[in-house]
Amino acid sequence: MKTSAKKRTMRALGLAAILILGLFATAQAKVDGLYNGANPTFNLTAATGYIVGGDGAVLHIWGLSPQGGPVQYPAPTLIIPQGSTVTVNLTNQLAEPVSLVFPGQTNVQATGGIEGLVTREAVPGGTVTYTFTAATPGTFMYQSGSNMALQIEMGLAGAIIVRPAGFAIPGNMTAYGTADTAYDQEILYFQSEMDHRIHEKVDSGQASLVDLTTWFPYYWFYNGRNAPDVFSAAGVPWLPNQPYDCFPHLLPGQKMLLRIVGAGRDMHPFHHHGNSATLIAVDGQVLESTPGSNNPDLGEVLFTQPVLPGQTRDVIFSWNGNELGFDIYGHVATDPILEVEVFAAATLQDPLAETDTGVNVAAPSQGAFPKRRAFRAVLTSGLATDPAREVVVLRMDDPAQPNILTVVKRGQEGTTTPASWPANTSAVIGTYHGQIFAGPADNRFPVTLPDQKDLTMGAFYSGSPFLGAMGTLPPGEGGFNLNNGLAFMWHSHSEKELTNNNIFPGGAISIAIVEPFGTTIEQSAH
Amino acid sequence: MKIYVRIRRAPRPSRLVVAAVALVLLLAQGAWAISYDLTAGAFTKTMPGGQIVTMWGYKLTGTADPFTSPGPELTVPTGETTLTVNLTNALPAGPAHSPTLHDTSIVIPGLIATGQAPVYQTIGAIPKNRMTSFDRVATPGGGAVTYTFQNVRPGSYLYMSGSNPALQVEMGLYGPAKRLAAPGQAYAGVAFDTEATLILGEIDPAMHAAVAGGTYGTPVYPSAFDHHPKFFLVNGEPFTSTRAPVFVGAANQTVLLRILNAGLQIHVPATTGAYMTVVGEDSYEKDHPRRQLALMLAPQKRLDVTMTVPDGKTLIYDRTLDVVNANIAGPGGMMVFLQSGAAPIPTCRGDLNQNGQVDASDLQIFLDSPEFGRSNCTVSAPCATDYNGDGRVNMRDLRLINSWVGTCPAPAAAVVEPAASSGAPALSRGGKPPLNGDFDGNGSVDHKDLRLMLDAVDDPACAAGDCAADLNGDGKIDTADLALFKAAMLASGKKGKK
Amino acid sequence: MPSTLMRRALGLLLGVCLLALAVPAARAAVIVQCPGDNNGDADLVDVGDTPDPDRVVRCMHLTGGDGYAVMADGRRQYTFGFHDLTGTAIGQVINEGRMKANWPSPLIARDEGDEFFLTLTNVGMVQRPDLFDAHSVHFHGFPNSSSIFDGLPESSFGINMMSSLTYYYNVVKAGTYMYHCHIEATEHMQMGMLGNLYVRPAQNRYPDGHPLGALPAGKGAAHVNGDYALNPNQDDPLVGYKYAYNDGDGSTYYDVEYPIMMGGFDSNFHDADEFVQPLNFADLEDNYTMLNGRGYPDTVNTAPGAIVNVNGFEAQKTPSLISVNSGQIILLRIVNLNVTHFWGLSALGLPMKVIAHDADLLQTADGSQKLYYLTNSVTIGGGGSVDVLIDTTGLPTGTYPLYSTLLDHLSNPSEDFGGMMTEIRIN
Repeated sequence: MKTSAKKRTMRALGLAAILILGLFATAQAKVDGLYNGANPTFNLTAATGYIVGGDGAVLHIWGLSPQGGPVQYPAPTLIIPQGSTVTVNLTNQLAEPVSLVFPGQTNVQATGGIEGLVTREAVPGGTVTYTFTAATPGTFMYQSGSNMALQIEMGLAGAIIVRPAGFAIPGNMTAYGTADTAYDQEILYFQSEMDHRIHEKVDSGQASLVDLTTWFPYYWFYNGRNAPDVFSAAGVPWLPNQPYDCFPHLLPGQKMLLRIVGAGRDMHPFHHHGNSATLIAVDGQVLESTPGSNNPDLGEVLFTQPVLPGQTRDVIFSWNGNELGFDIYGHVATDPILEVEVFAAATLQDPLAETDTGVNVAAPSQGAFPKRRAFRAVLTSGLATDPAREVVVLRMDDPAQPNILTVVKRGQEGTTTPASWPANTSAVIGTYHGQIFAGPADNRFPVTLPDQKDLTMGAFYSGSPFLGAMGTLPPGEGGFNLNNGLAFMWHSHSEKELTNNNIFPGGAISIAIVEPFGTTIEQSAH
Repeated sequence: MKIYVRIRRAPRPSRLVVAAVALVLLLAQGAWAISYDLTAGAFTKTMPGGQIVTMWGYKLTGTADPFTSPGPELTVPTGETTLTVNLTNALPAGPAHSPTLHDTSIVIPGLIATGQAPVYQTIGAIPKNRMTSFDRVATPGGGAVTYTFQNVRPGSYLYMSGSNPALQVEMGLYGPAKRLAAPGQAYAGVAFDTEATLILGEIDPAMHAAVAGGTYGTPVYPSAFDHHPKFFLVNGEPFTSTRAPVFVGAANQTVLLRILNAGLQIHVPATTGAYMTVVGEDSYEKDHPRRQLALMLAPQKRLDVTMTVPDGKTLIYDRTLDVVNANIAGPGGMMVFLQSGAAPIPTCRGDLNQNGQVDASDLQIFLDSPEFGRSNCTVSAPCATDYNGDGRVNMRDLRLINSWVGTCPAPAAAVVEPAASSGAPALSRGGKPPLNGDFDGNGSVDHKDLRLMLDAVDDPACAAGDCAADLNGDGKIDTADLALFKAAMLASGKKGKK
Repeated sequence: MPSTLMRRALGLLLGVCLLALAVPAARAAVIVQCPGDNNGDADLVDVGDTPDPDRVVRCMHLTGGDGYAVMADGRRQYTFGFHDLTGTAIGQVINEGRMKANWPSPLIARDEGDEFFLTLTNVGMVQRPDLFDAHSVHFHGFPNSSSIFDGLPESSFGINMMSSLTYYYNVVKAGTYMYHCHIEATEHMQMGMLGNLYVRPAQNRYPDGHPLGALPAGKGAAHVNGDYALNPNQDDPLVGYKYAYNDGDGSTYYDVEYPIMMGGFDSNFHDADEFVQPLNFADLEDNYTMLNGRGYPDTVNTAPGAIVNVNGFEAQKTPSLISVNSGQIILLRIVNLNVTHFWGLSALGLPMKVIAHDADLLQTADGSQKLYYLTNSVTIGGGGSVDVLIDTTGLPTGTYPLYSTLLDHLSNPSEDFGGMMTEIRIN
């Protein structure tokens, strides 16, 4: 038996649902949650409920509901201004004592309830109050401190985001209050799993018969949803107990902050297609050589994040399409050079004559030229209004002499080729992208793509390699990528987790989309 | 349990001599290899729920101690860099279908044994030559092998079986080892006030039953791949409601936790409150310690972590949530509380590592303690090791704890200081210049001289200035004299080392 | 589970319908794209080939299909995998590529600065004529990737049977990566479409005498390179000092390198795929664990042709025996490419110096300070890589295990003394 047909069925169903409901109208990258201003009080009730798996299964959970709201999986994300004194009133509607712990928070006090193993607990029908100081910014979690192996599995865990002092949307979006932790977009990846056999036992009143040493998960969640439900908008009415989505969008050159929370029992290798990304903080602590600086100079560049249970990771992802070897923006020579596309710029030290085979440049004022490989550059007079510009291909042959660049090709794409470019003030080299490939201006591409009939295409394929361009697709193909962005899967690289109880695809899959310039991306509210 | 230490290849000494020899070794610092004699053997353990499982463990050879898992902690003295383990195999013979199954060995990840030589056998579904032991094996029935590990760096170690470790480590053949950079320092400059070792383990009762019943390696339990643990241990015990916490001294001190994984699975030690600072990994100091709430601890990984433990109790638990005992509802498994505040009265006075007896490792702790040498102990700032209550932790207290080795003096009992060896002739200088430490004149500065020196602490002759043990001639026998004695012994030992 | 069976039945029905629709319409042809290669065999070394002297074009032709592997206990395993047919004439590719899945897939080793044209031809599944799966190559960890060449079927496409697709990679960042098919990722990866991939740094091509201040003892203070110029036609053997990364100071110098892929098979899953049974994704759990596609002790068997599959084909060509002379520095390029577990490796007493995670040199953000660290074991999840140097200077000669710290994986799987282990021999 084969799965691809199954997969197509799934995809078609998901696509139909999403298209019918028109959920792609606004691209977004935001964190939803409870925000009650400074020094907030959160009234949370632990109760039973049901959620829906990516395969349509109904799964029994224990979750927390914000006052008056439905019980949630995961527990509500608490968004708190730094320095707040936070009060959490936990009311217990479960049949066994419940408590909450707040790892990484300071001055945690528990009052009311009864003494438990780890902290004070609310008895069934009772209430317990926790207070703490959200002293430092960052990404944290909170979870049950009672009968943890069962209660965390059942769903009693959530994220805490502490906004740094001075935080503002828009204007001053940083993870830790410093320029090196600034971002343009943010997204939560609250990762959990579920062994539904345990939940079925609990649902049928057999909690005492559960053997947690035989735990073996069959569902994997991002923000409480399996794929493909992660693509449905936050708060859709058909997922009342799973209010959070997971569908990040960003523009080229923007920084996206991923707040990753390992809330389950297993470790998950979280792989972000598209680019490596910089881990800037773990467990709310910036990776810094100078304690207290919140300057993540010890950050790690990774393409797969090993997410531990009980751990939070703040990761900054960016994508700009540099050095792909072809121009993914599909520019023509006269297009303005955007800042995001420049990876090095320098002035000429010597004039460049028509017959010269090399140029002598000053140390780059920004970035660095690639070593021993051809790259594309633009010679300009440095004035935006000056039409004189020439696209060339250069190569640094000797890394020991980084200021000498061999001229490989000149005068590309119909640009001007003056007899000589003067030195110093009048000519600037901005470099971007790769070399020039033959073809019409909208298809300067290194290879010829196969006939579409020889391809099995995906729902996020725009039909074109170029950002923002829509190619022709056969009927029924594509459709998930309304702005013709570039789609990258962000997923668990333990690929067995890309399933919903034996059905592929599903589980720990999400898709990030690099949208074309000009796309509006909705931000977090608080 | 007591730790039995001796000079390499020395004849087996009496218990009293053991104590003195221990001190010699602790002081010798580089002159002598420290040597531990371990015997591997089987024992049984009752698990929560009443199940009795067969375990394998270690004890100190030649003692009446029970076998334990984890085995005795092996302490390499500060400044010492060679660790010798003499292993004796007292396990039952292997089953007929796999006669070498109970052959065992000792390996220490991170260290290389001198002459390390893997064992190969041609076995398997398709017979193929393969490494069946990472190093030389001791066979059941009393087989013995000596393993000498050089270049022991400061840090935490895990010693374990290197023979079919998937089976033998799971059965319990593992234990902790450590070396300090300096008294009170995990690594050079990484100071702590108190320390504790947390060693994680797992038990799959079915595997243990198969080993005990001789069916391991048969279709009943073919291989370690079938390992499915039901019990999750810290320091050999799963959590239960009656489990005693680990006492870490006064609140808000710096506690060094040595966290080792002797299980077969990855675990994630975590706290629900205070941060842990990872100062070392696999006995390498971290250049940039990270503050974390959860730690990846793969099997055989050793992490050195410092924590400031607030007043009260702090939970250390496995965040992979192996915090249950088999199918018993409620908390259990891989959890332990750190308890700040005053430790309860220990079972024995001088039993600093609370293993039920005063032994050489307590002497090591005493000497490595930042308290040693303090002279300002008060009621408000007491010294736990000021045994004679004179406000100082000095040679007299050293003499006291040395006199208790091998015993378990009740804490409430009055401290009886050993009588001074009044007028011991060998210690009278008779007006001559201070001696070099060879008080008994046998040609070497050794443990016998140390005993004489300690016995002379209260000798009135010393106060009168006629005391050979008062090496610096300042009218008292104190740590300054001990340092001189160490130097003399070091020089003598280099000459006379066997 | 009846509902699952129903889903499967529906899937089969749809699959048959789609097969009927898809196959006749396809244009289906083997096409190699490799600038300067004029006879379509994906290399640039033939008379008549015209490589561009201004470009460093490198080409490779992989086929994707099925095959067999043999486990260390003799058990046969049906596999999917890639096979290297670079240099094979186009007309022979389908025949040559069928039932030739390698496990692991062929090594791809490139140099920084290469333009890499990788042609993938889908030769179909001989053992499963009912399948019509596409294949792709996902260059895992490629910096700033495009979605068109990412191999991710959701964002682009896979290539159908009997057709070819050429990927283009501007190889710009040194490091240890990996590649795999991303079509039906759980199935195709579990079935073995996984390969080692690494990129050597431009620093290897520094001119002779370029100063490097942190070379190992005895290696002087400058780069040694007797052959500075690149040959535009073909891979140019490195004759001088070699480094793992552009470290700027020689601190990643090594003498010998070994890619080490931690991987595993769930034999029930492979058997189900071979015998057209329902695939059990839910209970996936690798029971055969391997390094570079072999369980111990096959990992240390370096005899050519010693490990052949049921068809007599040497599918598992990558032994992992690490053999060095005392004083040499070993570079282990360790990746984990399995779909179920985090795994760890230890060299027991040998110190491991970790110099990079995920193809990125460990250093401060401004590059002013290296952040290498010493350890005794490394642990990574699927899709992670780590570069480890083992300096054998001063270490006793002898044989040391390089073994799975998750000790229950030292089995094949119902016999002990197997699985994820090899040996390091210091001579």
